[in-house]
Amino acid sequence: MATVTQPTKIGKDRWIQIPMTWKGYLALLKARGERPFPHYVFVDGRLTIVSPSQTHESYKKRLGWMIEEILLTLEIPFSPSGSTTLLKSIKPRTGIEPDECYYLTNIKRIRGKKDLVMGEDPPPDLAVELVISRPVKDALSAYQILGVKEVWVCAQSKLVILVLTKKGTYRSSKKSRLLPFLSAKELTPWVYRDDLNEMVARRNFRAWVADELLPRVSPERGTEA
Amino acid sequence: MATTLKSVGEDFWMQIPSTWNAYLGLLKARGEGGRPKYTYSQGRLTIVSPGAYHERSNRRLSWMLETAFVILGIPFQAYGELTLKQGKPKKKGTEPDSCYYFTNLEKMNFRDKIKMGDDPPPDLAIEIVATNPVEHALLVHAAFGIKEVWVCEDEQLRILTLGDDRQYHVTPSSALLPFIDVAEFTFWMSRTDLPNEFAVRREFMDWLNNDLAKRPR
Repeated sequence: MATVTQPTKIGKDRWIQIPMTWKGYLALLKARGERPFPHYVFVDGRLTIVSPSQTHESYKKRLGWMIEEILLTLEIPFSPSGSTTLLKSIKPRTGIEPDECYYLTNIKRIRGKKDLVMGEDPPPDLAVELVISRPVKDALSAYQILGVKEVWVCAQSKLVILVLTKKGTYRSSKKSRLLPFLSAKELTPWVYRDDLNEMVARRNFRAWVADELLPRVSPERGTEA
Repeated sequence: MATTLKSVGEDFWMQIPSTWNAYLGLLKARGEGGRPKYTYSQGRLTIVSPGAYHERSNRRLSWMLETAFVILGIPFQAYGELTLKQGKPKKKGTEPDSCYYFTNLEKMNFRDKIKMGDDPPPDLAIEIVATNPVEHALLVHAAFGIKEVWVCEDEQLRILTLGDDRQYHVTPSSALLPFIDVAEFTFWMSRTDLPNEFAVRREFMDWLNNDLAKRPR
């Protein structure tokens, strides 16, 4: 087979959508057991199955770390729930494993919980979805049903912040509503830059958070640093 | 993407951990559509959503075979992409791209329900491989005792014969249909040099009538 230069180094996710019953979905979750993959999204009698690529995973790790770095530096309390299955068994039923998800409110209510029960427990405030090569529509429908306030969607080269409107739909927003000092545009290059090794990239980001973001929320501490 | 001799349309496919009951649920949720195709065996489910190459190759091959059977006078019953499944103790199921009976015809002609375990298995199954893995389906075909599986991959036909070891082995010719020459059918499967499918099929018919049908058998 001839080798050909590829336009990008982006690894594609494998995904498929199939018709599904709620019972069938629960049986597949059980069969998967403790394994983290594949990720399932159940919405509206349809199951999306995603087996993330290496590119997907590396962006996810980086973005998750970035979010936590911002929250730590800016001293914003949070509780990370990672890719836990957010299962809502009361109608409308849905289930999804986010790439990452975070609570910035209701932290006390979910403390010590072994499993989150959507419909009873509050939904996470922020979910992160990497959609390098798969459709995001069903994931957004799931988050909408769950009532997740904000979803950060990383497409192939752009981070989009979606906020839940009063009508219950998502619209893209220049700035985060949960972290109003932060825009999608300024975050984007930090997610996608691949000219540095991860350690240097993260160290630079850490410095940017301290020098740029911190003064926006607490000017006096910013100048000290 | 890397260049190959001919770009072959992709199937969407996946393998996931599953249970027999989840597989039955999936078949039910899918209803009559027949897409995507499912194969279940040993806690693993393969899902294949065939692409255009897969579909058009399948159409051509099944048409070629069935036309040849008619012209050459070989009685058969075709069941297409029938779901072949059996519960305990096998707990296996699959959907070939085509399947045929040549034996047990008295029992199997015009049947509207076929159950593995109660009914004899088809004699021949066809599997078109675009980018989907075929090994999982072969495992199920072998468990049901399907004598031959013809695998068409990269427009190359391969004849797999079930051995005494319950495994498939590549054989140079078909014991069921010895008049089928693998190289000849591979050639007809690969033809895209004519203006359209219609022209390919017309030419195949001419070859069938004027050449294959006239050979001594």
